[in-house]
Amino acid sequence: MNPELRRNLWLEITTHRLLAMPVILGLAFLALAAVDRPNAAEHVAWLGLAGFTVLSMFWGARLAGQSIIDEITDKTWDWQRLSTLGPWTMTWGKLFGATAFSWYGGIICLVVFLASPVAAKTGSPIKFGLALILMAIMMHAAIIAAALHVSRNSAAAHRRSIGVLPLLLLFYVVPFAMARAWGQKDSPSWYGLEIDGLNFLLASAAAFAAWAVIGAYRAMCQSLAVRTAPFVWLAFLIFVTAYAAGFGVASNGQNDDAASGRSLALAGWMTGVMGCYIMLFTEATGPVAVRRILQKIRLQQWQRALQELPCWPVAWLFALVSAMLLAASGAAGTGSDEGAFAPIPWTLLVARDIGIFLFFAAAAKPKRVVGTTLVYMLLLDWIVPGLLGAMGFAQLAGLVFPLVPGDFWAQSASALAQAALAVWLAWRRMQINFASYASS
Amino acid sequence: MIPGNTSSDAVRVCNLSFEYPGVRALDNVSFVVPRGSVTALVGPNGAGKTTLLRCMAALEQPLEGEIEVEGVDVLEHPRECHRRIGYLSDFFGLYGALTVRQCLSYAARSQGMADSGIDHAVTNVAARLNLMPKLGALVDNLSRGQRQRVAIGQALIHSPALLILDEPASGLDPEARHELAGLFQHLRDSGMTLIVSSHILAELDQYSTHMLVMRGGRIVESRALGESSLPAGRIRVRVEVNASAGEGIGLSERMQTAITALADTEMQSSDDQNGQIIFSLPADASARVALLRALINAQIPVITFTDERENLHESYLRTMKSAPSNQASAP
Repeated sequence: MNPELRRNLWLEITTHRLLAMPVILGLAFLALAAVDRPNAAEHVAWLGLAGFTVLSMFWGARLAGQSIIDEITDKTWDWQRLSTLGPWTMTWGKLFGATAFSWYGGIICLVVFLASPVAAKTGSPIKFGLALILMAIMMHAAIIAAALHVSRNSAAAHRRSIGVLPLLLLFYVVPFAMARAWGQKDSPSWYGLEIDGLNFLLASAAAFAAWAVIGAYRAMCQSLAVRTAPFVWLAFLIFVTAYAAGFGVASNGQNDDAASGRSLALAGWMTGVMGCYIMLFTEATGPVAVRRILQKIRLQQWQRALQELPCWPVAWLFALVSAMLLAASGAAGTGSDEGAFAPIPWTLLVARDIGIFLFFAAAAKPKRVVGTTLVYMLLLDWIVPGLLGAMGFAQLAGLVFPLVPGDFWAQSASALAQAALAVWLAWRRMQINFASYASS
Repeated sequence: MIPGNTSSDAVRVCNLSFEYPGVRALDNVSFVVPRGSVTALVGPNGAGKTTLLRCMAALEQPLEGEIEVEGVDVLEHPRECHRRIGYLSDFFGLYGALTVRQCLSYAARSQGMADSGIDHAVTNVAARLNLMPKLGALVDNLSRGQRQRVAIGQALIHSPALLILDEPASGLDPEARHELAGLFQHLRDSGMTLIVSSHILAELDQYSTHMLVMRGGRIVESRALGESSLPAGRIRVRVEVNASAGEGIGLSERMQTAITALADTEMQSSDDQNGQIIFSLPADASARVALLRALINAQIPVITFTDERENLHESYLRTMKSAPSNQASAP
């Protein structure tokens, strides 16, 4: 048996717990049934669905996250990293081991729901149940991936903050599932295709669960010093782009190639920008990471340089390529349309923010790098252009912040200058603060 | 200088550098650790000892450099390296809700040991560490010293070729420390290579064969203990004479006269008042016999005649005094 799974089962599954869970759930079902005998079956079914949601999804996600956070705070993580267990063994051992007890209770609840007449409203109780299980796995794997990802960053507060992730995912998942259970037969249009709602839910849950597990595996690889290049991250960005673009095509009401291309480019640009910021602020990055890459390049170790590459540059390049495609497709405003999107200068401003981040990260004793970067972003993107606009300098405001309508080329040049200045300042600070090493 | 790799080296580290934000914790570190040795890794706080050990255990990725443990490239094959090493961190944790047996069993399984050998390995390690009566106890209910022994047991359970220990005796009472020293001597005698970082030099002296001194992220000395600062083939001998009742008066001159005929034997230092004289002479036994005979013939009242071996503490202090101190300090 997987040693990590076995260890988790030692901790999670005890005789007392094995007996207590069905007894407590059984009493809860009986109590609810006794309150309203004529509608007992329906009430019990809803309690079953709610029980699965709370136990397997919410509590399970918490347990999955804690399986990483507790190892770090209890200082047992080094033991695990020193083992010879591979990243995949470790990933699934934690994924299903740490959540074993929540699955035990959740599956009991799910069986109660699926066995009830209410489940028939979903169209196919088996598919619906499978989709719920896949969504729970997605949440567990996503929180493991997030916990591993931020664990490489030393900020403890950072690590605790991942506890909000299951809540955010719940807001996404639960209404979706509940609406279906109430018998709402929506048929989403995806790339112009009318797809059965339950099938789409099942396929989406399976795809995102698979990506979450892959993400957890990759994060585990990094934690266990197993080298990986950011190809998986790039593949994920492409997948999210393709998935999200499908809805855009339908909403446009056009199924021609140009509309599909614009939808893809727009989805790609948004995915790239969001992915870049998320990774920049959560990855273990900064001047040390930059110097490691430069060191590998200097030694012409190209593959090692690629393996050292954080995810945010990949996301930024993805956003830049998407922005250029978007501009080329004509969807991007060139400044002529009021309120038109200007993805190219916007992407250059992301590079400026990266420069600001690296500048503060390159301090001799870096502190609160993310917070300080956010303050400067707020200042440059909102306060300064707002003041300029209020003072009647709309054109100048447009140069500082390209979302304000203005000349596309002037805004692009301004964004490029801002990015170049920020990156140069960061680079110069890195050289100054690390110069003593070179001379020592 | 890059150390050469020979089959007798358990560890080879070349040009290793490591950076924390704003600090170079390891700066071009190179050394070898002979197989079957016990290397005392010593240095002031912030010298980079823990960072070095963590790099060797593949827990940290250096900026540049190479590390080989038992012929395995640590940076290329970290998981393979873990089969060959055991590592005890300075600040380790244990699974408090598991029993000692479960902890040791999990450690064995996670190191890839076959199920059939687990029970034997657990019993063997528990017996070595005096943990047999505690096998069924929850780790949370153990004392500090017992927890330390469980942690050492976890690091040892798969019989690694190299055992790396960062402050292994911290928190242990004197008796437990003595037992630990005995265990390390036993492991060394069984052919295991050990690297031990500790501030308790007197204990390291009991079982260490080599010394690695760090300061400011650099190695300032790496040598075998017992290898003195004398040229190869020479040793020191300490002679103590009865200095009471005026016997110590003119001792140095009398000694010098006594050894005039002995080629290659020199008086290195003399403390006439306390009757302590140190000679430098060839390492072969006949030179020692000749010296003792010459002293007796000269009617020098010899009380003791012993090989002078510089202890770890003296050696460390001498190294730290002579090493440049203008080096950056690691966190």
